[in-house]
Amino acid sequence: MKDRAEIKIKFYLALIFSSFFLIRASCLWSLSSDSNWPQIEIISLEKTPANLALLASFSEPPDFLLETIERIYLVARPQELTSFQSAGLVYRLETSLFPPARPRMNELSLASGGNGAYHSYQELATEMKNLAEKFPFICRLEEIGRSLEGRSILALKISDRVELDEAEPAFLFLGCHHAREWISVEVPFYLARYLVENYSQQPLIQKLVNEAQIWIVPLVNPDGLEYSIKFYRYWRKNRRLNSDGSFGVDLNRNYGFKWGVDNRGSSPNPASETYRGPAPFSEPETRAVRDLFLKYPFQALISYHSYSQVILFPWGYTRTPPDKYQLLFNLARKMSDLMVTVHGRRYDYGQASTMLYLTNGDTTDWAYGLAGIPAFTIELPPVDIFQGGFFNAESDIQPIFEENLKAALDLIQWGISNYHYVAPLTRNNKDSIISFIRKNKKR
Amino acid sequence: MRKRSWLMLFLLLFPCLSPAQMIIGQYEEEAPLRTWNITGFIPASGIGRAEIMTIVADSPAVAFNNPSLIASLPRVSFYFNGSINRASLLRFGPVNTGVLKSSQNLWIRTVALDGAGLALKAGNWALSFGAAITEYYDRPSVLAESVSGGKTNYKINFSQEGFLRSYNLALARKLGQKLTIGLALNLSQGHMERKTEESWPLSQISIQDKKDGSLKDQYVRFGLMADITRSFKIAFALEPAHRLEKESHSFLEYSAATTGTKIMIEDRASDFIQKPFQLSLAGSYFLNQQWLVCAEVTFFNWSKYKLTWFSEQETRNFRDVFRLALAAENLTSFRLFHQSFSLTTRLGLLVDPQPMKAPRSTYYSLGSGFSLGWKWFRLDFGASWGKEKGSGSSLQSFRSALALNSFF
Repeated sequence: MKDRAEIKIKFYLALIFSSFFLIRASCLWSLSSDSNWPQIEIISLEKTPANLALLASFSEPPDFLLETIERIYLVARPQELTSFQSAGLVYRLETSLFPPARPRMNELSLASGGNGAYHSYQELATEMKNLAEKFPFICRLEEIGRSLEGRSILALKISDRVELDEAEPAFLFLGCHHAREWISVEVPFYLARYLVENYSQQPLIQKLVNEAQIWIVPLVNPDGLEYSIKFYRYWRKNRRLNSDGSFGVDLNRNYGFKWGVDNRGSSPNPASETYRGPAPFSEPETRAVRDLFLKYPFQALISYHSYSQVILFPWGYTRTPPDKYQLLFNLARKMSDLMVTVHGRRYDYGQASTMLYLTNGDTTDWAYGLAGIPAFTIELPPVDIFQGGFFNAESDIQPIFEENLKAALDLIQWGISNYHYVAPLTRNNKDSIISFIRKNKKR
Repeated sequence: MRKRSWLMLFLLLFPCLSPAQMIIGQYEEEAPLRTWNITGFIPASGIGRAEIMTIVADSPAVAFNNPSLIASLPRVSFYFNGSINRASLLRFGPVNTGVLKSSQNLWIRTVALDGAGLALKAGNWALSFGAAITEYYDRPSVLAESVSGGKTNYKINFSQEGFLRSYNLALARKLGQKLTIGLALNLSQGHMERKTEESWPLSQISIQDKKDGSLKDQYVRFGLMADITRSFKIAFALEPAHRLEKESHSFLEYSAATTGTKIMIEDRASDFIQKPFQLSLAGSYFLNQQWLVCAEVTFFNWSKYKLTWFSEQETRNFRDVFRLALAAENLTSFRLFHQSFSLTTRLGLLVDPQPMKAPRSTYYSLGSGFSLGWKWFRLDFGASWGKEKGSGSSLQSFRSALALNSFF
């Protein structure tokens, strides 16, 4: 009798556990059905004889989806989009009209991040790490600091003999001081990827990488970017909890040159979008950039922002032209001329304070004020709020990068040709830096 | 099935006043409304009993919490439950995290016919089927406007809503005179949607940021009850950790009517929220024929809580918690209009620590209610009031529910 009861209990226990495992097995089955799919877009073109002739001229026939009286719909991969653009085809992105048959994955990364083809912090960190692992001889990943919320501020150093600190001219490319300017992450990151991936094939890239050390920090404000993706798209500042309970310091008003010289170029009000912070370099994000800058002999700097489609150079804090106005003007004009040759988009250029508005405590005034090097803020497209403002279509990332690539390469070439070795502004000569700043403040 | 109350509030845009940075803690997107600690479905009688559901078999709803209890119900029983939940929140989404500022807590209310079920017993076996809304993800809707000269220059509208509905199939078996075991299979389905809309009417520019996801889960819950003596019972219920799967979708749209510019950024991902392992232990004791006291302690393994957001691992700084509940019930009967009625009144106290490590936060809730029985019917009413301490926001929650039970 007792044995029978025991058998019964064992039977029930077996029933319970087998049910449980069946359920878990079914969960695992559904989880494993995920996979990576190539990113594709659906586009439409006007059905004109000219467009039809252009389409017919491609060596690989385009993938036709459907046709209406007025338009033709095509399925296109990113490289096809680029060739369509180069051929001058005017198309409309229609992907959103067609419900996806399968989850759309970001072709560049393992994670999706919730922001389409743009990079989230995690995606970017993963891809930067992957680049450094894939090209260890010319690419090194470095954590130059940590954000307020503890995220790594990552830099890629691209140079031959990358582990050595050679006496080579250094160049700094910065992105995303302002969280909502998503395109400003993409341009410097794409530049890094382009340099390492084309090193072995393109003699020009090989020469630049061999003769220079190129530092790329695509994401200066990781906390802000995450907030912009997850909570509020138009977030600008970092995530500092201010003394009055408001959030954020404008990182591009927190640098130490002419910091807070007036209340027009930055704001003392913590709730303002241009709040400069309680002190110069009060934020770990700007300190990270400062410390990197002081370590190496930087010859030129570009800080990417959006929007306006302009190339700006110092000064921002005053309308008085800088000493090297002509040099800065010529470099900016050259970059703009090169950019227009790529996709026909013209970037305006000029001194920051006269082109846009007064700014103080920004990156380029600080770099120029401290080291006298050419420093540019490139406000990426679009040209105004009505063309998207802080929004750029995903299909615009590549063309915007391409036009900025030419400009960046040209600036590096200029820096190499005009390089005269000067000891980097290390912390060891901190006193001379302070006296330099004091002298400038007196001016 | 359920009606959502829209609370429209006009807020100031900046300056903000709230502690902490991006870590919201109490009301992360996936946080159920009121409390993180959910143990199945709590009908009216359970609310009056401080959410003790592991030891007292008084409705087929117990199958969601301790499936072994259905073997203690009459031969046929069913119930319908409707409830009202009210909760106050301070920080959620973009509210009080940098964009929108509220000087006081905001309230949200949900009203729903939220549970129904049927239990059948034959010999030593019992079977039940039930459906209930077990979690709400609603947040107060917020509309902020900037108006000058009678014209709206700028408008921002935030909303979040969502729920998780569970279907429960339970089987229980008496093993001898003193022991009952039970197993419940739960299938959950739900939806979550968060939307922020901004517009600049004069420039005819608008932005829409929508994140939504469909939810799906399957999990089991085990239960056991032992009659130690005629008046003393103990029970336990166990729910292994399980994954709530979420098909996430994000849609971001910029549109400028004057230039015809439209930019859309869309993303999709398969995500999960790993719900924690739970273990409840409870005991009840009849002091005499009129008075029953019961206690329940539930362990939530929140330190193992995991989730992904658009395929990225998210961090929640959580700790394990023990939830404690105590309750007393008075059972009496009376005659009215030549009819015999039973009346049970109850009172309970719940100490419900929330899983965030910082700030430490605990809801202290007081529940009370009654059950009025006549022939084969019983009407339950339960209400609870909870006050939160620890976050500095003095959050509150109210619950009330009415249930109709029938037994044959």
